[in-house]
Amino acid sequence: MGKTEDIVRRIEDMYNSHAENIYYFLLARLRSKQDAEEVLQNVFLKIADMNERVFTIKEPKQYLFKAARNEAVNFAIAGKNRRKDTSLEELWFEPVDKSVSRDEARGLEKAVLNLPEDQSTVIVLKIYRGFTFEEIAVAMDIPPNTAASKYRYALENLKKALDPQGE
Amino acid sequence: MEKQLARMKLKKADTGLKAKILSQVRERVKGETLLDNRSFIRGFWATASAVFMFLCVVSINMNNSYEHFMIKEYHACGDIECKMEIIAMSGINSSMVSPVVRDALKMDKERL
Repeated sequence: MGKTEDIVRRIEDMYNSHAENIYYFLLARLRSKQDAEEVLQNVFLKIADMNERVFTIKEPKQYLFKAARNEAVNFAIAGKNRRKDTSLEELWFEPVDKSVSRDEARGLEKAVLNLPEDQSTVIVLKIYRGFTFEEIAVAMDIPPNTAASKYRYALENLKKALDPQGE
Repeated sequence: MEKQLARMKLKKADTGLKAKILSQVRERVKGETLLDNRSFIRGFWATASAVFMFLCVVSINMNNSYEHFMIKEYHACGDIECKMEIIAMSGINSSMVSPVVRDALKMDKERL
């Protein structure tokens, strides 16, 4: 088997294992589907540029999240971020069944989007991607205790936003 | 609050995204260089080595043929000038280095 096929297969394996989680991680950070897709694409194209050095990546999950974080920062610095135009225009969430109304989904999405970036990222990874606090810590490059406290603050803030009279 | 959040799910990413990214990755990796291809490199060096060895064999054979031709010409010579000319030619020709030929010519030269 040729070297190029080995490299492509390795990158495909990395994509199949981690791309979906990274996409939602980027979505939570960048607040735009187009931006998240573009940054995800940039991450994998940079990995493709590594050629045979792709085999030196020992912890693909850690590596990919770090690359995604850096790429998201570069993307924002370059001023390509479209979040202002589209953040509330598109629905990230959909109801799990018919018992949840579209308005409720939209209200919840708005509340999550209004959270600070780190808190909404923790919510997405913890509740919707099933990450543990250790895994969130790796993804966001923060200590696990910090991830747990950000999650707690996020839930408190969401509660306040969705039920202001309950305070 | 967690229960309320769990009543929602994230929308699936664009289904064409994976195919799009992976096709670009494939293009980028394969488009790097032909020298990345191990089978091409192996084939290239095998062919180059075979050609080099073939040229060596041809060169040795041509040299041997030339030596035999010169010896034949030498023995065919009828007069001393002709023989001296052959010896002079073989003396300046670097291909005439075979010890057997050299000794034969030397002995004949001494005899003459």
